Amino acid sequence: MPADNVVHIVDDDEAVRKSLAFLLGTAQVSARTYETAVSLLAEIDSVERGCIISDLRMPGIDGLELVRRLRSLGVDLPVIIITGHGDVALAGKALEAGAIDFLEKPFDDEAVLASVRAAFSQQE
Amino acid sequence: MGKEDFLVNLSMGSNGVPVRDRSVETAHPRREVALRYGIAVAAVAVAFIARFVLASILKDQAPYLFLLPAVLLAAGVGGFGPGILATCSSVPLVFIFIANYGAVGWSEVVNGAVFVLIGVGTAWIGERLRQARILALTREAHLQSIIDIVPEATIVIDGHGIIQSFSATAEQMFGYTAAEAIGNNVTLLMPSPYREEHDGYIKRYRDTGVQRVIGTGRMAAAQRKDGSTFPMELAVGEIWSASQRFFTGFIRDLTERQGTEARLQELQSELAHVSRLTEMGGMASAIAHELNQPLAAIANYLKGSRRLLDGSTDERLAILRDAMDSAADQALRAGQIIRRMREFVSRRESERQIQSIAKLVEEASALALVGAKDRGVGVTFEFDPRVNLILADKVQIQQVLVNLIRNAVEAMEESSERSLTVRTTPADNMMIVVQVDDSGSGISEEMATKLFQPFATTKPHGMGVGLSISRTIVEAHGGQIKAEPRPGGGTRFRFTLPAVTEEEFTDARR
Repeated sequence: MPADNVVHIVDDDEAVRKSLAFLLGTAQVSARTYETAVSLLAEIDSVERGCIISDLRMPGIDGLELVRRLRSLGVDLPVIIITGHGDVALAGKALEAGAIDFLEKPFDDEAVLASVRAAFSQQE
Repeated sequence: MGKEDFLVNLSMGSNGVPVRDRSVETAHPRREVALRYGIAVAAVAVAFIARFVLASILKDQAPYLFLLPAVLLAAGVGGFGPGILATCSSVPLVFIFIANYGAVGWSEVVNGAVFVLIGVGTAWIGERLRQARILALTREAHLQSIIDIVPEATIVIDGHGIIQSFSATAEQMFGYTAAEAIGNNVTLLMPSPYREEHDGYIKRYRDTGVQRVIGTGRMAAAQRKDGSTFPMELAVGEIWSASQRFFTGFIRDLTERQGTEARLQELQSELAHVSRLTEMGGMASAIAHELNQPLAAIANYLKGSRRLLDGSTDERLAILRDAMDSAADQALRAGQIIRRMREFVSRRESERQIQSIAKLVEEASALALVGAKDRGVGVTFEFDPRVNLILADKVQIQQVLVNLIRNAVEAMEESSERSLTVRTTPADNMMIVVQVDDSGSGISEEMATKLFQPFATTKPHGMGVGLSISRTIVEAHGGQIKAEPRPGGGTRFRFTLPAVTEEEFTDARR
């Protein structure tokens, strides 16, 4: 995996953000965390390439809306959606809107790493 | 007469509604008999006087001609006895003319006998007609007395919506007298938008024959003479009478506590049952989300830690690595259990059917607004005619509506202006928007962001799951729910649901 790729993690739950960054770190993948979609969008012009892992349900801009905004901004970072709800209907919408994968919390490390690898290779 | 006693007894309305006097015959049988015979005597007398005046011209020609109408009248109005009386008293009178102007021969005797025979026949037919008339009047009065004492208001309209009959209970319920109501279109008793649409409903039924209300009953809003509205339960029956169509509506006032307590309790237990079902689903969903977050963190930390120990040659670290892996798997297993619980609760998906959003709103409002009349809440419905059909779980969407409407009513408790508006409008992407506006104190910016999170509440006794449940339901239907300040004060809740077009509806039915 190229070292310059970064996973941008957006989740309003601090434990989830930090633990996911830790897990990715142990697989030599660097990660940045954002509490809200707004804080990621504020820096979107200067962020490193790689991919985004975003929670679906968040106050303010939710994961679905984030995917839509990124598309309308012309940002081609792949987005992986994670959720604590089994929102099958919303998952479908997220994929329709352009997300590349959808994972239900709690997820297996191999599953999330496989998804991140796929996202990175899409960036190449 | 036994029948008359029965009618007199009925005039004490069992529910306190005064019953109009419906007795058919006069209450004094002796006077009535005297009247019938009196008519016979008077008719014969008039005929005799008329014949007497013209006697100089007519001589003894056709003496019975004048008396025949008198016999017909006596028999027709009075029945057998008066008919016979008129016949028998006519014969000697005729013989006065004959004796005065000619001679009494065989032909006159035969003439008289024939007249008597005809008179007896007429009297017999007259009696039959009188009995039939009494029976018809008795039946009508009997029916009317039943209509007057049933606790439902009974209104009969014709095929064009014009009120034909308006029961005593209806007078009480709506504040109009029967005289005021009869002849008006029944839309007089409806608030907008039914007022404008009802003629269309009748026309559609006339054209298509598809029954929407008839035989099934529904809950809707009604309007009194003073302009106030109340939730009602309506049952409609159809009658064909002499090739003309009539509709009979039975209306139960759902705000009226007296006499409808049983029905109210039924509604409330229905609502409680629905609440329990969806609350269970909502709780499961809320707990799932709350637990899945820490479970995800636990699994991530453990799996990450195990990765750090990968490749270590220390035997003790290898044991530790396996233990961490097993612990992480247990966190994942806990997530599986929660998922299965959610699936069990959300299995109601199969309950989704094509529904009319207007009907769902009306029924949910009737449930949620029980008692709201006492609190002086003005309710307005605005249904956009371009959208109506949705694919939804009726019970769940009603639960959302009941939650939102109850919240709105509670939010306006302290307000001087209390107006609630439920509106449906079309939205993009084949969705429809349902909007519930209140004129309450509104919500704070801080509350607005966490309004739909479980266990967030501003109410002293609330659990804070109502809106969380509502969100779960709306999102399970593929829609979204939002709260925002209402222009002019108060709060506006909006949620979207996928619309079903008329074509899809027809395809689905095929």
